[in-house]
Amino acid sequence: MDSELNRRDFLKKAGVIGGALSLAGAAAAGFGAGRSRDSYTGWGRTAYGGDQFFNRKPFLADKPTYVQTGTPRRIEYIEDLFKRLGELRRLMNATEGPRWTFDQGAEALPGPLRNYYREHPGALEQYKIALEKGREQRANWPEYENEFLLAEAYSSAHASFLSGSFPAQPQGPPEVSDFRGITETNLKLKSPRHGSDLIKQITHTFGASLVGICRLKQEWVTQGFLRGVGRTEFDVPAHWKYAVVIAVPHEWDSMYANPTYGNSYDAYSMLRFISGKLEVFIRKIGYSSRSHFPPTSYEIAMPPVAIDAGLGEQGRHGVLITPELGANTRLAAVTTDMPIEPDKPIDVGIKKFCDKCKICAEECPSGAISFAGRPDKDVRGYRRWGIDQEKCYTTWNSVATSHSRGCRICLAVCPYSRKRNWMHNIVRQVDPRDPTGLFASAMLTMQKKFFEYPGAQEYLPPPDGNNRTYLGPPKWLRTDEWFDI
Amino acid sequence: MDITVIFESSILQPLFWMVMGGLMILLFIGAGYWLKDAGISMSWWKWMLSALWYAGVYVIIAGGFTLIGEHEVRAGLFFLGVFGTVMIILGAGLWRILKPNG
Repeated sequence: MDSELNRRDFLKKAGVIGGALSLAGAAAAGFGAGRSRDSYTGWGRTAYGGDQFFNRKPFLADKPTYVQTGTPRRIEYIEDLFKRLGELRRLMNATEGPRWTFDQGAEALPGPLRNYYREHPGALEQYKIALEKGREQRANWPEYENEFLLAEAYSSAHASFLSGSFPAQPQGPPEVSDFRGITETNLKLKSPRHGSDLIKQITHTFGASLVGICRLKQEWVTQGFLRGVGRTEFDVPAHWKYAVVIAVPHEWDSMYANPTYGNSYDAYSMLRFISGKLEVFIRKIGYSSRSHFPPTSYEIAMPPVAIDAGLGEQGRHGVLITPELGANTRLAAVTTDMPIEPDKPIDVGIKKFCDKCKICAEECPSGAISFAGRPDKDVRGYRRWGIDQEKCYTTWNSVATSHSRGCRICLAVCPYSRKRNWMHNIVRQVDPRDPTGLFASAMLTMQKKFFEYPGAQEYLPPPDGNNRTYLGPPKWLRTDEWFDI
Repeated sequence: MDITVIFESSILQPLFWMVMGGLMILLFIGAGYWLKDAGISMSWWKWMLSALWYAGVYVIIAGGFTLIGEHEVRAGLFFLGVFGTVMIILGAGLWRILKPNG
């Protein structure tokens, strides 16, 4: 009887403790979900650590595991395979003076090379074999070219940064420059769907967070200047049929700490590489391509093209808002004649939400964003919210940065710019499926009542403001964490 | 210790949820005894209502701390305060259902 009572009491107490601990666990799990950098979309957590790094501390050793057997010396550059072979190739193809040939042997080589090959008998002969193999390899390539078309294009895309400026700027009219380096292939895509799936997969491997495809409308193409040609009025080239639109976010923690800790260039540099590589990849599989990337290498207006490609909707602040990245979305594109299947635009209620929200307008230090209840300006035949570009740029020149490198407060305060954790994912999924709009209204009420916004002027330096940021800066960007100041 | 270590770890995170599962089982076994000793007879729908209420409390605590974890401390505290109050009121109502004469 006693043991039964003990068991009962034990389970009662354990139940209370279990209940309390599980609620504490809920708090911990919630906190972890909120704080975890894993829930940032489109930005790897390498920079933030986590358990991807092996804990080396228990294995620290006093001595390295390599073994010293003689008197150490520095490495002669000629000991590097590629530098050595480069020297040999230069001697074999010399344009001035006599050329070196294998028949002359190592003794005819200049000092360092001669010494190396004296010390490594057989190495020259091996290089001769390698060169012969290389000639065979190139001669055999047509036999394998089709089988490995994609792998070769993928490698070429990644290697393309090696040749001078990247991506190579257009030279001459698009009918010439967009076809430069194109591979002539007789392979036909199985279907446009296969083409779009392939391009999306490849673009994601280049680092794109979001990829969408649209048929390029003429009205989104700029006029008056054409890269590779200069100032000119031009017809939209016939081969600019589709646009592959690429989106990446800014690094999240610094983006929330705009205007002073964030920057635009993190996303710009990524987009330059992704779109540049995609441009090369598409040409290597046989189609024309031209990359369009920030800050100024564009012939198309990006937000409407991204809307056509189904990535998101345009917000009150004029920036594209996507379900995944919110307003923390930066864009590039590659125009091409590759026959690919376009995506459809989406309507997830962002534009309607912007009608009511106005947080970006309230927090904009420059007052550049419209407060109108509905889009209030007709721009080149389309209705949108008006943005006062000059006022916006004035704030770029007013905040506490070294030069006019942007503000981005509207990106940081946008309610859509949120992490990919359980809480915000529920909102992402429920909101667009609620036909009544009540859920969105409830979310907006909470956003305005619960969340803390510093106020538009606070982002400016004294005396107008206090150099506030939307959220605090990350530790790794705080100078006082690392330096005595 | 930074608690995010658990949730960014491929080893600790699943262990955490296993422990949480164990705690839930303990909670419901213990609750069964508590209710029996308090003379409260439970039917399936009473258990369901109780579980829903507890799930609600659980989600609100997790939600508040998610916002706090995101550095939105004010929003997290408001969330806990407003919805926590709602859950306390609902809890009182649930108790009246479970023990009408209590």
